[in-house]
Amino acid sequence: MLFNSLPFLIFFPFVFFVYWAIKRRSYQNVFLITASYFFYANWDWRFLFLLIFSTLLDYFSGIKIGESEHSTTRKWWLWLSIGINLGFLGIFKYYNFFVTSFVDLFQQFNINLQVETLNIILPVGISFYTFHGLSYVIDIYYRRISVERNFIDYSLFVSFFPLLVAGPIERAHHLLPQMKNERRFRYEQMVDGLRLILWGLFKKVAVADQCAYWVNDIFSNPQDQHSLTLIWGAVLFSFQIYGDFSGYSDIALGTARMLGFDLLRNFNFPYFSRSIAEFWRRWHISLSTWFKDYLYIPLGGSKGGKKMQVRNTLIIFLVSGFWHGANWTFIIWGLLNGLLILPSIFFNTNRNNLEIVAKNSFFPSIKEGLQILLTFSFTTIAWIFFRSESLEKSMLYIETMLTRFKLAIPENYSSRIVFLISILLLFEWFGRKNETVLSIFSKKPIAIRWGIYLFLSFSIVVLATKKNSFIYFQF
Amino acid sequence: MRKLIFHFGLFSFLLAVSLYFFLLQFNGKHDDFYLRLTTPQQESLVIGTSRAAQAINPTYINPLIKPHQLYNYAFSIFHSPFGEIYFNSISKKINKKSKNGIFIVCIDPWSLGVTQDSIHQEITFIEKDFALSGVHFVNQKPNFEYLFFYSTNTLLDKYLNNNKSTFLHSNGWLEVNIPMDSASIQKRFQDRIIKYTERKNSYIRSKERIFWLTKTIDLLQKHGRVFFIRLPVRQQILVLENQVWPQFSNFVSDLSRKKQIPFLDFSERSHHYLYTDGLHLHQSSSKIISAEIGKWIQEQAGRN
Repeated sequence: MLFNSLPFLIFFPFVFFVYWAIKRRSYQNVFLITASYFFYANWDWRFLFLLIFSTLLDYFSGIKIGESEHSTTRKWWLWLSIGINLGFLGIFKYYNFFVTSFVDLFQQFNINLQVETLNIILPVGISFYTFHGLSYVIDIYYRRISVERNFIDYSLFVSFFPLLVAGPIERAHHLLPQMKNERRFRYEQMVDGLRLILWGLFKKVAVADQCAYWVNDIFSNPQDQHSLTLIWGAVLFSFQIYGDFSGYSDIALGTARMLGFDLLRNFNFPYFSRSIAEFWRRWHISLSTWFKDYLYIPLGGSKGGKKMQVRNTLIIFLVSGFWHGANWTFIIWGLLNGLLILPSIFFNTNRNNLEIVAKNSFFPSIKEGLQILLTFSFTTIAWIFFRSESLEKSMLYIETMLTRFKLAIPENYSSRIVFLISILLLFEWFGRKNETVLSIFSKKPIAIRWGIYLFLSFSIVVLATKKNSFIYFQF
Repeated sequence: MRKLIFHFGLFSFLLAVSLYFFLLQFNGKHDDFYLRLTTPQQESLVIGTSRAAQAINPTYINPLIKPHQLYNYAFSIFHSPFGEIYFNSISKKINKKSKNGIFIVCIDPWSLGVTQDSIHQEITFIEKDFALSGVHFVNQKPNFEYLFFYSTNTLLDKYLNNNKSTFLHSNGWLEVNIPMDSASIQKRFQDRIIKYTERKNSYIRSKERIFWLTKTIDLLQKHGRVFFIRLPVRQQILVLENQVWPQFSNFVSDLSRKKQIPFLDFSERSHHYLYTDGLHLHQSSSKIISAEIGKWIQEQAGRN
């Protein structure tokens, strides 16, 4: 069930009204779990058992770790949970990749290995709910949080439908208390949720899906295009992936907010970043902070000097790339981003630009404008690897982009897309100091406010396509 | 909660109204099929595939068969070969109270056949993947169901359609305006020959389609008189038709005798008409053939 589909348009209002009609919090949670399992089973009911197993594993591991005072027992339960969780992820997501990579490697030495690959499909959301569960168990191990004994509350933390299939990757200390608190219906919160959903849908349907049409065309045969078309294709993909994933995240945040929950913010205007380091503080924030807390810091973080910091940074970017998918393209994408961030580590500028650009003015300075443009260019080049089907194709894309220069308007140029991207950038620029973009209109007269909401809604309907899955569902 | 419901309801209403007026703008230039699914139930219909959709223009028949008003409800070989899906769609389009309608049924071997995969021997009923299989409402304007769920591209793309080569008239006739120089015709004709040779190789005669043809005839006969037409095609296409179904006209003649349906066969008069691609009649010939059919129906009616 996609957020931008008719079934969800029926599912969510039903859940919303029944949920708020239920007065007791515990019953509300039971209802939300039922709804979440239904939502998940709608993808493929067979994987519901995997989700339930993962939930049970982390729930009991958490209790065992929390109850025990013996460090060996605690460690044993921690590694059992980590091992099984990552084991599932490994089998479903990475087994075939490792097998084929080993076979390819041995073939370089004229050794032909006969190893069977698995004919399995990736359970939707496995990377996300596995990380949910892991963060909970690790936090208990390090005594950052206390054990959750209420199985219903814990299950809802793992399987809450707005974040189940593509995040944001929540933390127990942030979301679990919300599962335990009474929720109050507040009109302003509902309107805020609706605004997030509307803006998320606009980014997904009107920007990402429109870009996708041309991106697919350009990336399918880069060898036949000239430089400017390939640059255009890469830029369009930058907006496609942003519209797609941040759009999804906004809808997730909006639906959760309408049910009385506040989820972690996943995007904070990343394309207005002035450096790669800033970009990664603003892009897929819940994953970046997860890797920082559960990988970078345990590895030593920045303690131990520059050498250690560089090593750990490259490790988390490599792992982050690999998390996205079992393909060398993602690994290179991760590595490239890691390399791009290194200058800021060497020059101690990685903690610069913590605030949003032009915080106290409307326009950025020329320097800031150039920095934004340069950062966007670097991330766009890296996205070429992310989007390409194979390393060979990404290299071919870049090679053709650099060599087949022709001064001509890109063949796939579309003024409609330029218009839609301009709206996206304009609204985000105006709203960059707010938590939600559309809240900039909250103080405007109703005619303007509703006029803009109508324009966005109308655009979503008339631009809706059938091929509308979210990119991050494959991760 | 009440405030939210009221505001959201009002907003949804405004959105629905603006969409309603936007969708009302869709007409024959935006889609080759849409308009047929927006008109009221009809008393007299033209049934068939794209050959009938382009060949039979009610404008030239209706004056000859007064007071009947024919409506062209033929789609394409993908949408409307004879079968359960087309049968159901036709039954929704017919005015249930009508007993005295006129129904022109255009038959050819392709609309009574299916394709079979040579490897897996799998039989494909192609229409299952097209609009008529899922559209429940065929008399609704605007037809939300068709526009939202069975359009191949976005509503905006459909609305801004720059393809000026086709126009669906309000009587269901599909006007096609494409270059008619000899090179263009020859190019399209060659493409058709290639496509139909491929189709011929995987073609099998379908008993199921014949069953649904007879069911369709039974249904139409309850609501008026039925007339069989075999439309002309260029000689080379006719050769292919004769290969997939030798003596097809005899089959139609037998059926017409059995069901007491007059049959007008144009298959041997291919050289009398002009085609856009060897299969579909050009609008100039459509005008001629429509008038001929009108006259023939008039004569048939006079006989009874």
